[in-house]
Amino acid sequence: MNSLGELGNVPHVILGLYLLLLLALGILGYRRRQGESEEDYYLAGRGQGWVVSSLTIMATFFSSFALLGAPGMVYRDGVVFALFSLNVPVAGVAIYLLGSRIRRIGRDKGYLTPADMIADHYDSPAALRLLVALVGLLYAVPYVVIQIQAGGILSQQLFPGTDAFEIGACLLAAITMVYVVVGGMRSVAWTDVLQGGLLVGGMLLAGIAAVGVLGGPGPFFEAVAKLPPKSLSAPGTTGRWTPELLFTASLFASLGSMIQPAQWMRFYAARSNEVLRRSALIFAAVLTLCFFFGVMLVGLGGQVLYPLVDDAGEYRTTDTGAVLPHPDVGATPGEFDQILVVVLKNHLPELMGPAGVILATLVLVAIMAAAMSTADSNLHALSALITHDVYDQFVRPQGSQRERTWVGRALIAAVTVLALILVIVARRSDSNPLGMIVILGLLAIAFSTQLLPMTVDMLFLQRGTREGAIVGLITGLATIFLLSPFWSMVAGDAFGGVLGSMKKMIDIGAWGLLFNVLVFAALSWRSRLRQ
Amino acid sequence: MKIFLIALFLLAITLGAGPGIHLVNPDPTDPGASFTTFGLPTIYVWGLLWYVVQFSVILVAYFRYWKTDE
Repeated sequence: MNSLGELGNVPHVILGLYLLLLLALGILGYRRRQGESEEDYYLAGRGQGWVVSSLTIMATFFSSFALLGAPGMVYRDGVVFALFSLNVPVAGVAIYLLGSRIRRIGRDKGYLTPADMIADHYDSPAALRLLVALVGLLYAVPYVVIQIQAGGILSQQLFPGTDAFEIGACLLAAITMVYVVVGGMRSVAWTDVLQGGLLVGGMLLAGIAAVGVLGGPGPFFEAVAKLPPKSLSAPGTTGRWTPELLFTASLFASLGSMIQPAQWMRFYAARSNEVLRRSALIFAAVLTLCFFFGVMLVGLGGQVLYPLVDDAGEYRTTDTGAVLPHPDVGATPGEFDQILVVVLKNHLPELMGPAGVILATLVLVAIMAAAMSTADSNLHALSALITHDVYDQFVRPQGSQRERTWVGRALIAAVTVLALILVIVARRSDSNPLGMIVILGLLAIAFSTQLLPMTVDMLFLQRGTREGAIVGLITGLATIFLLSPFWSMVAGDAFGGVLGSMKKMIDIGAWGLLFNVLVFAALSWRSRLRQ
Repeated sequence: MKIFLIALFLLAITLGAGPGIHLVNPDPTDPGASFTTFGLPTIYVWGLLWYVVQFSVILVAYFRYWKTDE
C-alpha cells in the first residue's frame, strides 16, 4: 500500500513550490505598489477587479474550518450539518446588498476601516471608533493564532517527525508575515487568488475522493443509507443541531462573517459595483457546491469508513458521555476534524497509487492555503485597525502616510511573532494557555454580528442615533460574554441554568443581536423624541 | 416581484436550514422510519432543493435588479 511517506520528497516539493509562489506574489505586490499611502497599503488603491475580489472574499470567508471543521462536524453529527451549507448563499447576497453600498460610501468619503464609516455616521469619533475597533480585534486575534496552530498540526500530518509542529507553525507564520508586510492588501489579495483556487479545488477533490474510495456515487449513498438513524436525522448524533440552532447559526454566521473587518475592507477595495455583483454570484454558486458536493461528503463517507458505533451498535463515549470518533481517527472528542486528513492519507494513495499521493498532498496543501489566507487577511485587517483607528487618531495624528504604513508593517511583524510564541509555548505546556483564545475564536463571528444593526441602519434605514448605537453594541457584546464559557468560569451557574437553556435554544450571536437591536431601537427612538 | 423574491429567499433559508426541517425530519426512534429519498439521505435532498431555490432567486436578482453602474 502506498502512503504519503512512501513517495519520498514529493509532498516536500509540492509544499515548497506553493510557499515559493506565495513569496513571489508577495514581492510582486510590493513592486506594483503606487506610493507609500495607507489607501494603497490597506486597500490596494481601491482598484481590485472581479477575479481577485471574488477569490479573496472566498479565501477570507473560509478558514481551515472549511476543510477540517466542516467535514468533522458531519462526521460527528451526521447529515444535518450539511444544511449549514445554506448559509453560503446568504453570505453571497450580503456581498452585493451590503458590500456595494459600503464600497460606494467608502470611496466617496475615503474610509479605510469599518470604524471610519460607523464613527463618522454616528458622529462618535472616540467611543464608537474604539468599540468597533475592539470588535475587530476580538475577531481577528483568535483567528490569527488558531490558523498558525493549524499550520503546525497540518505539518505534523504531512511530515511526521519530532519538530514537525514547530517547523510548520514557524513556516506558515513567517511566510505569511513576509508577504503581508511587504505588499499589503495587493499581496494578500493576489496570494488569496492562488489560495482560493486551491481551497475550491481541494474541497471538491476531497468530496470526489471520498465517493471514489467507496466505489462511486451508487455504492457511496447505499452505504450512507445504512448509517445509524441519528446520523441521518436532526438534531444529529450529539443532539446539538436542532433546526432552530442551525437556523440562527447559519443566518448569523454568514452575515457576521461578511461584515467582519477584513471583508469590509475588501468591499472598500473593489474597483466598481460590477465587481461585487459578479463576486456575489460566483461566491453563492461555487462555494455552496463545494460544500454540498465536497467536504460534506467526506464527513458522511468518514462515518461509513470509520464508524462511530462499535460492533454492538453502541456509540463510543467518554466517561462524561461525549461521543468519540473511531479510534483510527482520534482518541478524544476534539479529533473529529481529523477525518478528512485520515481519509485522504489512508485511502487515496491506496486507490490511485502515486497519483493519489500527489492529490492527497494537494488537498493537504489546500488546507494550509485555507489557514494562510485567513491568517493573512486578519493580520492585515488587525494592522489597519490598530494603526488607523488607534495610532493615527489618538497617538500620532500628525504622522505622515509613510510613517503610518511602516507602523502598520511593524505591527504585523510583532503580532505574528507574539502569536507564534503563544502557539509554541502552548504546545509545550501541560496546561492549556490557548484555551481562552480558542473560546474567543468560537465567539468571533458572534462578536462581529453585533455590527449588523448599525450596518443595516447606516446603509438602509438611517434612524439610529449615537446613544442607541453605543449602548446597543455594548449590550450585544455583554450578552455574548454572559453566555460564553468565560462567565461560567467566573460566576459558575449564577442564573440557575437559564443561561445554559438559552444557549441550547439559538446561537449565542443571535441572542446578542436580539438584545442589541432592542436597546439600539429603544434608545434611538428615545433620543429622537428628545431632539 | 422584488418583494416576492425577498420572501422566497427568506422562506428558503427558514425551511432549508431552519424550522422547516421538522417537515421532513425522520424520527430516529421509529423503526419504520424512512431516512432516504431517491436513494439519498432525505435531509440532504431537502438542503439541495432549497439551495436550488436560493440560487434561482439570486440569478433573477442578478440579471434583473442588481445594478452594474454606480
